[in-house]
Amino acid sequence: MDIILNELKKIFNIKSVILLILINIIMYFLFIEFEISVFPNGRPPLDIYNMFVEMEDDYGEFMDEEEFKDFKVKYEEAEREADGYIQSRKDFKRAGIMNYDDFVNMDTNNKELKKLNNDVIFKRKVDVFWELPWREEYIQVYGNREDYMMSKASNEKQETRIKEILEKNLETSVFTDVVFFNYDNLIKPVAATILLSVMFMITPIYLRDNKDRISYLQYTSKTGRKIFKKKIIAGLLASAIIVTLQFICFFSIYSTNNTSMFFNSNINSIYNSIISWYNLTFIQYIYLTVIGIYILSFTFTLISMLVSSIGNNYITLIGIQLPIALFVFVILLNYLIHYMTSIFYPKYFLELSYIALMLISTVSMIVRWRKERKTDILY
Amino acid sequence: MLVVNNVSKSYGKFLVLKGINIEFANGVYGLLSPNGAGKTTLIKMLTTLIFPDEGEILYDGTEISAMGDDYRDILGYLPQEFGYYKDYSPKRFLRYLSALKGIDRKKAEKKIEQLLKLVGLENVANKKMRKFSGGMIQRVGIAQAMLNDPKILILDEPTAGLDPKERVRFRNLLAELSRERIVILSTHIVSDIESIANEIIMIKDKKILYKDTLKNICKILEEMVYETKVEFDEVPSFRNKYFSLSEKQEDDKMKVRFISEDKPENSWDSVNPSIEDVFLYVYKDEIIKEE
Amino acid sequence: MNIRINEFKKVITSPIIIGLLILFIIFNSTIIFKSSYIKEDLEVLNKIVNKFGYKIDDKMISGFKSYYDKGLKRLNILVNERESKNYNSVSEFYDDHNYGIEDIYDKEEIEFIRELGIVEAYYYKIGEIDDVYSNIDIMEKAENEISKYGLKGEAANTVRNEYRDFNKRFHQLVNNKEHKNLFYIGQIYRMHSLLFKSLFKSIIFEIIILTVLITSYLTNYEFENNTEAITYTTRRGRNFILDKISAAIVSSILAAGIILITGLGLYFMTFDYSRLWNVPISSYFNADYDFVYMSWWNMSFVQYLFAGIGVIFACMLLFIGITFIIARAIKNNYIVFVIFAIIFGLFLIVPGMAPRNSNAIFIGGFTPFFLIMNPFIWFMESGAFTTFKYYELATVGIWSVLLLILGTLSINRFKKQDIAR
Repeated sequence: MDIILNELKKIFNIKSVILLILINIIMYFLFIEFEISVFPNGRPPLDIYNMFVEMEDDYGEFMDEEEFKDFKVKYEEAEREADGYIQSRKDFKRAGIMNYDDFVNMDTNNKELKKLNNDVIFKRKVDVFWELPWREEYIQVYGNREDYMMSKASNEKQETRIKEILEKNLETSVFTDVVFFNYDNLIKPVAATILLSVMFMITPIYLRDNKDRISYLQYTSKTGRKIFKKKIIAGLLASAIIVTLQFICFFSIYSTNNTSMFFNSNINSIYNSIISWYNLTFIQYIYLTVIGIYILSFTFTLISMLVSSIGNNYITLIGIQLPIALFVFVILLNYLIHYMTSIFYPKYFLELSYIALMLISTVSMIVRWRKERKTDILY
Repeated sequence: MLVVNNVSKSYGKFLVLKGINIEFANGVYGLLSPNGAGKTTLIKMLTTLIFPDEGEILYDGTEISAMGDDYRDILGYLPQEFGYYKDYSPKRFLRYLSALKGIDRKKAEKKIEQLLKLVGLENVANKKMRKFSGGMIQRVGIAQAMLNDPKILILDEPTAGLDPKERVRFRNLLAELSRERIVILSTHIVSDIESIANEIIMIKDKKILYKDTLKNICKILEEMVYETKVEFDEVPSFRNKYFSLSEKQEDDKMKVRFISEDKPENSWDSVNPSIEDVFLYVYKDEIIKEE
Repeated sequence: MNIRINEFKKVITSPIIIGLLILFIIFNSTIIFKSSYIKEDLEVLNKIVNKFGYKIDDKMISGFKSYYDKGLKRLNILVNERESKNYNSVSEFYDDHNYGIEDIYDKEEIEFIRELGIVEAYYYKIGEIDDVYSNIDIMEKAENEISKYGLKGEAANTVRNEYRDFNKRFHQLVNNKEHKNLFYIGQIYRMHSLLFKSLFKSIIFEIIILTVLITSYLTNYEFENNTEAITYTTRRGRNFILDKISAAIVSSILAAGIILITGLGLYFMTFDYSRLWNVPISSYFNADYDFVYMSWWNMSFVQYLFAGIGVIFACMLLFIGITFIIARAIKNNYIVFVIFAIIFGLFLIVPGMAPRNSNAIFIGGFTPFFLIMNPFIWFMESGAFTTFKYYELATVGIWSVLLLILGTLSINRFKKQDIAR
């Protein structure tokens, strides 16, 4: 449709596109770049990440009892490596530290011993000493995994769900919080950036023509007030384009974090920080966040258009959009994109919220459209 | 045939038009009245921008709001304070409006070329409109109003802001465009319609006061308009006695054109009333009200 | 000056400005209310200060010790009576009673134990002070900062120099015993962060939003309403723009004042600081989140508060200047706002891109954008990039001069510019 194409061209005018790119660059460097360039972030996340890559390689998506035995063997190997390192150093011998056990139990209030500790761990950053405490922890957790999982429940529904997970042994999934948390830390600012971009590009859509009274010519042409509807379509198309382009950029960048080996792992692992109402794999969780963001951009495109059609100058638009934007970024995203489907939210909270958002925005827009058809154009 | 049938419109408690009845057939109509009398309100109703509170507007027997797209398909409108995109060239702007008017792209290209030539803008067809003068912008406005070859052409104060030469040019243009369609020209510049209007419509006190040919309307003041020369110091008292229509300095005296219902004096010359005289006479109480 | 009053009226009658003001006041109130539950605990310190003053010297310590010992004795009498037990401290008592004490003791007694526990916390903290401060190694902190950010060469040396200066101040601080003053325990209540981080930061961003909107609105008002042709051709002419600037300044000050008064007013009505105004801000008790706050000057709490407010107003004026220059160049208020936000973002990012071994990396910190990000460590030791004695003053000073020059140039240009369609 020529008309819709023209409206799209007006939305994607060169000034706005340049500003949009600048906004994205700034949001990237302020909030996103860190989680990409420094992943895994420091120690021990690096060690945990390497450990899990190895586990996925050796055991696949789940670590069953057989494979767990192998994991314990690996721990013992690591311990021996640590022992060997300690014994190779004379200063440890002098301090009376003979093996890894001694090392772990030494009194760090003693200045000399603290120095040795810091030397190995912080100065030389010997890998195996970072690994060992976590291997130990993970072994313990695996051994008590049923109790461990059940302790997280604070009501009956959650208990029932956890029992379901335990029945299918989903908690033995090879998936770590290091990867999940990193994704969560990324997808929230990405969602914020996407929504900000959409709001920025869409908000002028009606005011632009109303201010300059172009609407007189539009409304008296054959197309008439239907232009209002066509702008809705153009706006939704525009935001779909913006969102899709941004996702392409984001996921290309995200792929440099090398987490694809975990895509098929279930997120309900004991080694992860989320317990979900659903048996989602990591890639399915990613799809979920993508869908969520598309729905949110749909909603906020409509809301921006609504605001645009009722304001009479740009200051008013900014004055209304700003609190909305702040509310979305500070509160809404924390419930709707952060830890989606977690059992710490009521079971259907997510579905209901998204449906409510879509309904409210769509109904408001329909009401607005109906009004525009009949209203006097007085400005 | 465009028929306005007993139409009334209020803004809140403020009544603007009451019981308006007009019939438009092909030809040029001048909508003449002072500002604020309801011209723009009537026009906005004819162009579907606002809706009557009472009454209906019919085109060929069908209510225009029921006609939907089909009505606006035959409508051409040049609004007062015509809005445009500063960064567009006239060609691009007309293309944009053609799409809105549902004109096929190829046809539109041809039509745009024709119209730009007609309004004398073919040399600047691709220049950004932010560089245009007021007169040039108005000409783009006229061009866009004609894109769909409308059967009803409505022009709201189209010559405001044009210099005399441009106004003449516009008048000639209009004479050409007025064949085979209803042209409604809303203005308070009398000279715009003196030469081309078939009928003149004057609105007063929220109603239609006159709808008639120029000749007939002028008959109201038949044998009542005079001109005479008056000494400068006598002018104020003269004004108090008779309604002065215009004053001009000539041969060290003031030549006054005025209205008198009394028997004429010898020094008075009887002149033919013009539509401007009627305008001033009809609306004189509104002018006095303002003073 | 009727003209200026009219410009001012344009702002105060704008429903958007008023609406946002109200929204912001409500938001600030929720920040305070969320933490208001601790105000009862804070009363305990007020009681202590009433009895012993806030200065920690030998006299105070001995008085406080006997006060605490008395309390402990009373506790043990009570506990002995009910449970035939004895404890050396309230925390020991709580450790032993993991499942609650509501069925053994009545409301008043529970209250007494709770308060004693807080008194105990203060008592132990007093004991820690000397140890903590003797372990503070300013130059070590400098080295930590240098390695945290990977600084080398010139840059690293600058940091070391600044910290050397600060070291002198640090010794002065210890000699003055500024750190030996009672205050609400930071590690439990985190009052410093609540006031100077959460509340101040929120207030600052609200003031920025209002200031940018007001300035942009006024500067472009005539163009928005197509009245530029009649207003700038009057007798007042293009000097009219000066009236707009002063109205923007006055209304921004008013808006900022309203937000500060309501926010801080509510804060100090909720939390009783009346005995603590003159406590040095470098008090050890202020420390929250592993930070020991150490100021460059010997400032009391109230002096620090007003210095902070001063910085806020100064930065607000700077933002008016920046917005004015942008708004003069771009007539569309929407774009002005977006560009301001983009400039803000750029000034936060670009500093990080300077090479880690040159002094250029510090230049980026001396901007009002960087300055307002961390109000809770103004005038204090605050890490590699902002630990300069006159950091705040230099930033405000340099930018004031810069913006005065640029602003004047912009106005002069306006006076010679064509005002076309």
